Amino acid sequence: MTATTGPTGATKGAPADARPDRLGPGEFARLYQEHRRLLWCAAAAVVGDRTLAQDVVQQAAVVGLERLGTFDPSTSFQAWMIQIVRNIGLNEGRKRARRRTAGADVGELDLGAAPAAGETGWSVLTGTGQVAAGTEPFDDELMRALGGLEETARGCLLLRVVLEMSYREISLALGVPEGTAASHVHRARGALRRALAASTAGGAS
Amino acid sequence: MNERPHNEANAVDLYVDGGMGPAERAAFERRMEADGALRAEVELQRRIDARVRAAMTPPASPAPGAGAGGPIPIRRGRIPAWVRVAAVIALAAVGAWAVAARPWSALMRPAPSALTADAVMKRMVEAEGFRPAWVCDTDERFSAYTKENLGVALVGRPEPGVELVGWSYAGGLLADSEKNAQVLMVKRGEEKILVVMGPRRDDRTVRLEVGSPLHVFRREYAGLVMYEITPLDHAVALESVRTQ
Repeated sequence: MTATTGPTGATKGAPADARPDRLGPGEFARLYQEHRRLLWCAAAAVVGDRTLAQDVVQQAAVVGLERLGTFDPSTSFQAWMIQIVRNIGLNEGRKRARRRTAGADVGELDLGAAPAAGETGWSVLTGTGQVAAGTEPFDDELMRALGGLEETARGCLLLRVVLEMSYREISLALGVPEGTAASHVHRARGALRRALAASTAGGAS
Repeated sequence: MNERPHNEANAVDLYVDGGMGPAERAAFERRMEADGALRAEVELQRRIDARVRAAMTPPASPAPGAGAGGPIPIRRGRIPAWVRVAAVIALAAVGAWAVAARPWSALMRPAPSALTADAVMKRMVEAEGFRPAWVCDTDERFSAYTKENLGVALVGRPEPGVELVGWSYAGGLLADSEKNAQVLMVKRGEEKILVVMGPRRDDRTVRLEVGSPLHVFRREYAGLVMYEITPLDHAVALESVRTQ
């Protein structure tokens, strides 16, 4: 079937201001690309691992496409996709916890399982795999402290610090009130400062 | 670090985020000059933010014409030495058993992939718009990319009418779902084709969904295993790469 369009580009026979009731794959692709960094951070906040976060976002793209018919275009695409990302991330976390229980994954921990004393809940990785000299103990402590945050607080913090989103934008993305997003960020930063300051003081003594 | 009043702690965040007006900022900086602990707290927050960014910045967004590409994140080894030693001993024991018992005849057929070829094609074409994460526009870049990510320096030599678009990656096809395979994105006319590559030890039988319109072709070359996922009924891209 070929759609014909009038001078304004509106499809003939349909009101010019009609909103589509379904999102097409092309538009999904555009929106997915637009929100990919946000989705990645949301995934990282849940799973705490760069590689796994990438897998989660990829899986979410497939699931999102499969469930496109259930998405209401009048609602927030990013909130819908973040929910998908979060569900997949939590499932992946549980899978890893089971594998870890079986002793299959020695070097990594996940947030789905409570870290044992002295262990970090997050793996320490950088964007390039390279760690600057002198940063390793600091990073280890930082990741341990990040892993100890509540998931929503960690999500708010990552969106603020990594993507430099406003509290308003974080509020819309994660579905929390703007003031709550700000509180989460302030409290999370305070918790990290306390943990890192204590660690630095302990290491220096 | 002493516990600061809530508003004062918020002021540290506000200052670090650049959210203060000129007068407020100047006043805060005067306080910092007089208060070494406050200054240290601000410096600590800046360091924390910088390290969080370094560790948690998303990978580069796939885009057409992207440069030859930065490195793919690499896991930093965190396995204690005693575990490595134990692993070597265990592997040696398993190896000795394998030689004696010859159990591999039952394992000749690689385990099936976690994801189907259809799911990966759908994601890369429909969700991501068939846009590569890395484009290697010279033999040197192509070679450097494949050397770094596959351990073998390859060059692209596509047959006429076949275009090597660029590289992306996908989990769930080779090895296990936590390890990404390299994916060479290829076009012939309007047909979009994927060539999934990885070390032969990561081989998995790439699955198709029932009634899939796609075809999968396999090649082993230079210690690698390659799967061409294509809507065409013959392979056009598997022979597009070779060692220098």
